[in-house]
Amino acid sequence: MPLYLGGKAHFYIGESKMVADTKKCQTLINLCAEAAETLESIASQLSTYRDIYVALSIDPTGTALYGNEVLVSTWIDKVQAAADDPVTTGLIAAKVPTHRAMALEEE
Amino acid sequence: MAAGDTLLIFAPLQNEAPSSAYATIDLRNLHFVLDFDDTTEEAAVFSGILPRNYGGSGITIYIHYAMSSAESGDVIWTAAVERIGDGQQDIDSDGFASSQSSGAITVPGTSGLVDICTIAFTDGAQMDSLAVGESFRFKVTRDADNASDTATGDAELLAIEIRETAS
Repeated sequence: MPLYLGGKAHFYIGESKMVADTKKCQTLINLCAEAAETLESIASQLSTYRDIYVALSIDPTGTALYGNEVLVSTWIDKVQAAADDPVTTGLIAAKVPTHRAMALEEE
Repeated sequence: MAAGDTLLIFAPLQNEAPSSAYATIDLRNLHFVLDFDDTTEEAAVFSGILPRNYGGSGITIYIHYAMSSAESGDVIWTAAVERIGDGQQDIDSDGFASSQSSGAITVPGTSGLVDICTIAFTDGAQMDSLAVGESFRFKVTRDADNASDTATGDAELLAIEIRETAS
């Protein structure tokens, strides 16, 4: 039990006034989960735009895409793979919506 | 005479929120609750008059709360009394007595289940020497920056009962 001191001040000895490690972990999880949600959204968007591009048979001559279509398409596949990674979905599942992700800023 | 009697009951909508770091009103399945953050200490304040049937045995507060999502870990509540009384407290300033703590309370294993925890105040200084018939304020805080408050996410306050401590 903490030792409460007299008077009207709100301070006491015997308890650590520091945010628990569980909340610091949750802050990192929530921040990663927000990035993971953004990654999922972007990956889906890129795949959709690539499908549209392919369907329209667009001529890339004279643009940065010319000769690099396969490279860009492979890069989009990698983004999609990162979005589909179990770590990404696991982070999103572990997010606690009411945690404000501020615990690491207390240090 | 009144030991064990219910003296007062407070509900979320009676909160007289502090100017900063206040618990926020929320609805959970149409139940009004006050949300207390898990990292920043937030408080709710209630006003009352100590009933005439108070017999001087001290008070025990019963905090009814649920967790927004946590199903493990501990939560710590603290509470403090400010005697306003008859010529005791200039209400232009605050004068809460030292906080009393619930200690670490294990949260329910289901987030929607309501747990009831207690904090006891002895008669006298812990109650800011509050006497019957005097008005007072009562502040409840989640001790969120205590290393032993380990439950993540909001704690939701549903109700507070103040009873005279049973002898």
